[in-house]
Amino acid sequence: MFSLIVALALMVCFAGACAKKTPSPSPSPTVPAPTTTPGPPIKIAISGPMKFFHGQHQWLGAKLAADEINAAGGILVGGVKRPVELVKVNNNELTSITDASLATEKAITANKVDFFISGIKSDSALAIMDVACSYKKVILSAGSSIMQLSQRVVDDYEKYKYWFRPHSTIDYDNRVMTAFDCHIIPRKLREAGIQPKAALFGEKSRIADAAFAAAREEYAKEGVEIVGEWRPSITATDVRAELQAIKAAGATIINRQMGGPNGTAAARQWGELQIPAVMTGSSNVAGMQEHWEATKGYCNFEITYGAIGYGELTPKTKPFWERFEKATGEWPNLFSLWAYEDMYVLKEAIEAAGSTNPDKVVEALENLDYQGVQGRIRFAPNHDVLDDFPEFVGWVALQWQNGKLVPVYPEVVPLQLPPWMIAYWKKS
Amino acid sequence: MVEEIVITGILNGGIFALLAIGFSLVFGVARIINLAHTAFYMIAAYILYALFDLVGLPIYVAATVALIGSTLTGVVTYKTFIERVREHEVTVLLITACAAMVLQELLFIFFGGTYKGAPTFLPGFAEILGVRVPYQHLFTLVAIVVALLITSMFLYRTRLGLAIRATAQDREIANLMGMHVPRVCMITMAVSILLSSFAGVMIAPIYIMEPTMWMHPLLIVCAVVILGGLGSIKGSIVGAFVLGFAESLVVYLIPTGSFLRGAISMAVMLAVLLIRPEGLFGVAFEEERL
Repeated sequence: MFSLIVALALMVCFAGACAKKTPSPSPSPTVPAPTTTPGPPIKIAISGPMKFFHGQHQWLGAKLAADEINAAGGILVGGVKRPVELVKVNNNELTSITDASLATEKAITANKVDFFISGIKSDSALAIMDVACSYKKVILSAGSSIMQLSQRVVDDYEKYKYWFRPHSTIDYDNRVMTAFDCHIIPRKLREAGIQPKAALFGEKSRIADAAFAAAREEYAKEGVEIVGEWRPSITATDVRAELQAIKAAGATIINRQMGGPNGTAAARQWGELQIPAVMTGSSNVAGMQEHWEATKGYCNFEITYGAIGYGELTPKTKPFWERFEKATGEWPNLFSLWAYEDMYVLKEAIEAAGSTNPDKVVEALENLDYQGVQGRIRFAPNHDVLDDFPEFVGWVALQWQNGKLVPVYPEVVPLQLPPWMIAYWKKS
Repeated sequence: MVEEIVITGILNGGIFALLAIGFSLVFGVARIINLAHTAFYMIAAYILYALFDLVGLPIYVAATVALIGSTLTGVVTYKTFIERVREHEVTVLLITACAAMVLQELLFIFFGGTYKGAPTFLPGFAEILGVRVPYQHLFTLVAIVVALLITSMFLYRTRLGLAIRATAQDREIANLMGMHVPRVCMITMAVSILLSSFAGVMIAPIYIMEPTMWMHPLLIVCAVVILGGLGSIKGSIVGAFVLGFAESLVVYLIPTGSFLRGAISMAVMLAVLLIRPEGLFGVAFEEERL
């Protein structure tokens, strides 16, 4: 008798559940007017290495965008304004790919997030992309620039179509960097009466390998001799020996590609020892506001690359910089800019789709044409941003000049050579 | 190039030696392999940074407080967690590793993960045989020599030093002769951490600070003391300079493989151990162990 009652109860519950799922009468084909009652929040995971500046800035950028969007009422989805709810996920991706995968899966299954802004370190980004796409979650890249990510979209569109990269790729970055490092700087040195000779200085990584391969070709075109290649560890905190060897080899350009504390060490020790060469190339840390303090000001005249500098690179650059600085007390960097940009790209796509359905949002992203802080953002068939300079200004050469990080290519402020370098080579 | 290799080798070796002496000393006396040794070096560096850069104290006051603060942290850690299990070497090993991790996480909480630079005591550089050597490096080298002399005088010219050496030779006999072995071990630990903290204060302006900065030096320190012979101070100094020169040679002779300098140091250590498992001075200088 008891089992019969339980069976009946279960049947009633099942019927009730089915009844709830019965489609309501078809809505009117016209778009309903926005209601004043806010809808349920849209949950966006800001997933990154939150103990490190990469993740911390990713969060700050996304938070600023979320605050702005929510202050304006939220994201308009099918006539209802829905607030944005950010979910902060520390995925520890800089040190563990496994942690990155597990954190992504947990955010989907436990936190029930709708969208992802994630993927900074390349190997972790591949794993994060796999997990998010297998759950059909739209994921916007937070920083990884390797081409393998977008190649996956080409190779297996149905699986990976949920992934988009609204920022520059390594190919684009290398085009900008080689133009400046391998052509503009050598010409500037010749103008100053200094023979350009380059030293390649960077950790053993895929990013540095690609940058050096491109640099070798371009230096050859410009007639610049490469005096040697030094590859310290990414975790090196003392590179004086390498810098001494570079000086002994007679280099006048140090093309360094660094992604860790070696970037801080290289800048500080280069300035401290007054190595008579221009320090250029890319360093993940040199674009940070704290870099000046971390190097005790020895990074003066150091050149690096980033997605943003203080100046009129696009009409939105300076206002964004000022809003960010006012809200956080810090300068924006590439990670904060890209997370901020990702948030608005997502907003535009959701509003265009009129839904949070991932397939509809993917379609909207593929047709997106949005004027962002970096310039015009549209996506190519491989879901990389269309990087047609000067409509898209996604990678900028920046130079430290007396405590300020200013754009020197595209030129907002003229490039300056280190004065000790000019004095040394004139004396020689 | 030879002069560059020699000068860089001496600088590297001096820094490794300063870090390795304390580690070796505490092993020789208390048989403690202190994996948190370089964590105290990190704590001293961060205290120096905080007091000078954030609070604005004069550099020498900040350095003194950093030395005292870091040593006290080490002694409290020893009294609270290590002393009661001192006889269980594996437990001690795990506890010191945990202590280092806790200190690392605390620094992440209070200072974040961004890279920081400690202030330089003496800015500028000298040119020696065409090689630019920062005054801070020269100052560090002098400080290392002074620290070694003071440590040596302490061990060989004081009654406490005699007790430490006696305990290092034979703890049971030292105990029977009326020496308070647990107290000697604690004092040795304090001296070891003081040396590590001194290294932190001296080296922080040369290296870059971040909360995992203790890991790489720990590896080097382990390599140095194993190479020199565990517990042998002389061995540690020789081992430090062998590895210092090995790293210098790699950078100058194989520049495209300079990221391998840590690995090549380890390879040198392995090669020596294959030929002489007790390390360079492990047995030959057994009688002279401090």
